[in-house]
Formats: sequence, structure tokens, C-alpha cells
Amino acid sequence: MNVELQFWGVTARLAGSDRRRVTLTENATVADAIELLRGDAALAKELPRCAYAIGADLVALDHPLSEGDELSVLPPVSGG
Amino acid sequence: MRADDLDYSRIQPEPLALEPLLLATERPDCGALAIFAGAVRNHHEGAAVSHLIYTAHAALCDKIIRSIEQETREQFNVPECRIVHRVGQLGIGDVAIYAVVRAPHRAEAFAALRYAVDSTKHRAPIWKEEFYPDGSSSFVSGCCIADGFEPPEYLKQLPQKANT
Repeated sequence: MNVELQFWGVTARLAGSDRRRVTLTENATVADAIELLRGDAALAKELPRCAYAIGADLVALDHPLSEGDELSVLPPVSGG
Repeated sequence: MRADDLDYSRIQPEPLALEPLLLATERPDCGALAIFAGAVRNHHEGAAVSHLIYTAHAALCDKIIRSIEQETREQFNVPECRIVHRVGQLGIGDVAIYAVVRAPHRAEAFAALRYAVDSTKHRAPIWKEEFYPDGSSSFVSGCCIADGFEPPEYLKQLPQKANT
């Protein structure tokens, strides 16, 4: 299945883009999608401090993905 | 969700206006009005700053800020709490966040306002990119919102939400 990763904050800079389409096997989870990013050293360093969301819902690493999901990668926040 | 919560987004690209927040929260049983305005500084950790760009995951951010407002009302027993945060490019002195709390008395208004502002800074998916006079920029290091990360000590000391 195809899932679109959306990078926010510093992760967009580290990924070189704010979006990346990835292809995963059926029954893949958020963790499986994030695992694909570990080859990118700069981005991988940031991942342990990231949260993840689909739409307006935060999701855990074991959350199952569906075809067409847009998975947001949310680094530490700095509003205010 | 209260009906009057639907009238505007908590994340706005336009310059923030305080007056609508005051009008929307006005009530005769509240003698205390506490307001926080966070404005853009011209320095950070010893470096000169020329301007900022805020980005936000708008849908999630709106949802989280609304839940912070509700928590603040419930935990501090204050009838009104509104928070709005700006996104986009902001110059020095521009207001990035307004938070408004109304309460019968000042003690709970001050405490609730601090909780609302600190919670927004630590939980709302907003990112601050600082720009420097030489044209370079960097993202300000912030707070992790993933499960399992401990909140700062001073947020732990505040009343915990009883019904969740």
C-alpha cells in the first residue's frame, strides 16, 4: 500500500522535502513506515523525539496504516 | 464542545486581535481578566534575531488547543479560557500568541493562564524557525509530544485532570 509521509518543522529540512511517498506491505504499522527513514542519518537522529499523527489524531507506533494514509512526522514543538 | 467554540480557528495566519477574544469571553460573574501576549523578541540565546516563521499542523493544533482550553476551565474552575496562535512570518514585536482567562477572582485566573500558555507551548504542534541578520535560520529546539516523554517539573505540579 502507499502512504504519504508529511514532515513538519526541522524534519522537513532534514528530509529535504515536506512530503515523501512510501510503499509498504499490507498490515504495516507506523513503526514500519518510520523504519524506512532510518537510512537517512540526519533524519534518523531526530526520530526518537518525534510524535506521529494521521489527520487530527496522534497515533502510536503500533497503529495500523491504511492505503492512502497521510502520516505526519512531528518533531519537538516550539510554539509561543 | 461549546457552540461558541466553533466561531474561529485557534491557528491564524493574520495578525492577532485581542478585542474579539475579550468580547467573546465577557461575563458579569468574572471580576478577574488575565491576558498573556507573547511577542517576537529580537534575540535568542545571545544571537540577534531578525524575524520568525511559525508553522503548525493546523488541524491537530486546533484540536489540541481546544482541549487545553477545556482542561484549563475544568482544572482551575474558571469559566472562560481562549487561546489563539499565529502562523507565518512574524516581525520583531508581532504578537504570536494571546491567551485570555476570565475568573471570579485573580488567584485562579493567574494560575489558569500560566497553565494554558505553558501547555500550549509544550503540546501544540507549532514550530518556530528563527532567522538571523546574515540570512541563515534554525529551528528552535522544543518539547517532545510523543507518548512516554515526561512533562517539565512545573507542569507536573499543577492539578491533574480528574476525569481522564
